[in-house]
Amino acid sequence: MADAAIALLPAAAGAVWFWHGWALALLAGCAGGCVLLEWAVSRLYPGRGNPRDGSALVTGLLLALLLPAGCPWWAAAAAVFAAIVPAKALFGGLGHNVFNPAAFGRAVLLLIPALRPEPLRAASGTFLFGYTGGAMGEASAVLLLAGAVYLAARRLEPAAVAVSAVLAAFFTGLFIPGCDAAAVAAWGGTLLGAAFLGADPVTGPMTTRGKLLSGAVLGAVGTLLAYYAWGIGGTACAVLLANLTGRAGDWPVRPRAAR
Amino acid sequence: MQLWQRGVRLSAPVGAPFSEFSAPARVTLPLQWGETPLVRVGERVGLGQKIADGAGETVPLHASVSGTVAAIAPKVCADGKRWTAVVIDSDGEERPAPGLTGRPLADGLSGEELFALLCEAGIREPDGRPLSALVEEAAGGCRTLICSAIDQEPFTLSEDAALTAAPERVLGGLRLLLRLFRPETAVLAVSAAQKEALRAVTRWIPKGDSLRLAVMPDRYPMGDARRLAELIASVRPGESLASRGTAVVRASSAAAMEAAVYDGMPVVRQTVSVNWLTGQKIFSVPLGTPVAEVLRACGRDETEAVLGGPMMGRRLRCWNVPVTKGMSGFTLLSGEQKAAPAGPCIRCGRCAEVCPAELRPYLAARRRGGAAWSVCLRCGACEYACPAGRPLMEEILRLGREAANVG
Repeated sequence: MADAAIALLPAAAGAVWFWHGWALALLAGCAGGCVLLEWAVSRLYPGRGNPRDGSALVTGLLLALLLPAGCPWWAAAAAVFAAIVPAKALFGGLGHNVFNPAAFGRAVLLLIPALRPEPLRAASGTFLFGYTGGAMGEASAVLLLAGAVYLAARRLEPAAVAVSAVLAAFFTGLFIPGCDAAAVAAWGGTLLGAAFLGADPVTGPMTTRGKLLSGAVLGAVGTLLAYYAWGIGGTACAVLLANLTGRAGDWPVRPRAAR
Repeated sequence: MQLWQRGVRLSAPVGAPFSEFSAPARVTLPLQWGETPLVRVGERVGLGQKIADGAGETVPLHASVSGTVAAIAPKVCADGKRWTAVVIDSDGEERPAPGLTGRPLADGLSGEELFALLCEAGIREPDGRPLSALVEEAAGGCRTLICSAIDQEPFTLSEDAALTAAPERVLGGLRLLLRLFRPETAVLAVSAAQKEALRAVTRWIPKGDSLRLAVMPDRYPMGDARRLAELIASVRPGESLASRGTAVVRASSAAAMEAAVYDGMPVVRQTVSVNWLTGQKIFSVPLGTPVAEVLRACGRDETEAVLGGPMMGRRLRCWNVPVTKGMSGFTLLSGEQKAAPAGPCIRCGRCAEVCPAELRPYLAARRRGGAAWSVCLRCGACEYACPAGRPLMEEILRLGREAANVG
């Protein structure tokens, strides 16, 4: 868990660089809120939450990076609640949840029309460093990549998911008229989905077949939803869909792997 | 994961030279396989004298010291049971039994005479099977003979010690086995981590020799007989080794055979490695030496001992038990090790990545597929690799037991 948090630090630092105090407040608030809520859950429902295992911290940081810097505090609080209680605790706690908590928290906010991000086709600027038109994590693809490389060095990054997601995003971009496929593939949202949300071992598939399938769904559906509809919100929805696809892709569940 | 990449990389043991061990004053030789004693209380015996006889699964037992038979009585053994044992008080002379020196050289012996010598020598593979039984099985047709110098568990270095200390013995024994088995292919399997052994043995195998040297990847559990057969002889999972004409013998058995035939000395000693967190000692002790004496010879304060290695060993409750054939290692632990509670399964899949039998241990908790777990090697690699520290071995073994009860 510590490694996952460390991998998010470059992107978090980038967010603070671009949005200063707002970013710091949102990062600290989401992370602190998630840990606090997890602690409360562990007191009320023993066994369903453990504030010390670091998973709540990672969820909080990731959630903050999925939100825009100007996010109102009550919306962030609602997302934190959604990420910890329905997405994790109600399923039975860490290891039992089907949906990625951070993605779930972000997706829930799409219910509020005023908070829906702009579709990606309206975006302008470079995604590599300095894109301030979206969520905090989208600011720099380079920083996200640095985090992904760290995860890979620690053997925590499933290539089957990350590579298939980025490739699927790229090829989907090729088929979208008027879309810069390379930009879409390098977009912060694609990278967040492919390398961080998709790398979650609990909600990700366990077999290689499942990983390739869910990665492809993540990249393709995520790009379509992000480009035409809700930007990073679309990525979050695609992650939830990929969580389900991954479970389906793991079937049949036999004790012995087929040769 | 490719088949040969499965398993876990544990720290490679550095083989040490044998440490000094003073011969015990008294040895206890339990008749755990139903051997019939041939000696009486008060009788004088020589080193290597046959003191109990048996045929088939029960191989003869020989005196590991010269001296006087002090008792033939039930004694507690490491398996927790009481077995009738021949207790010999040593006279410290190591006087060989009459008739043991000056045997004719093996080259003049026929296949049947060689087999008879083999049966008489009391050689048992570490898993308990007599070498003679293996030979008999392979007489029906042996395609591949694999001699494994890879130890079953990390740090229990009896096989590595056999190959490093006396490679010519192991190879001599192997050539005798080649005469008995007559396989199409003969392979000596050594782990890539066994640098000393590789150095020692490559001098003795000329290029183009019919005996091949297979350097296996350093992944526990490479020493498992089934695993070697699957990787070297392409035995399929679930297929018996015999049906594919594959036989696996250990280097220590080959060396014992060479000693029996060329020196006329049957199995009377056991190589024991004792390991602790920061070190290791290897001894060659006479069979029947009390385990307590071996463990005390290391000069350590640890109070808990495990019979076997850190992966598959079982807790040794009583130290006053004798060393028997196949006891290749002990692990010393201090009693203070606290186990952290197991976390929930985070579905990382590492257990499935490392499993050498290509099982998915994460499904054991969900109680799926009882009979499929029977191919589990019980190596413990899954539990070692699990980041949440889940008791996977316990879950798998329980499922296997339930399946066996139902079926």
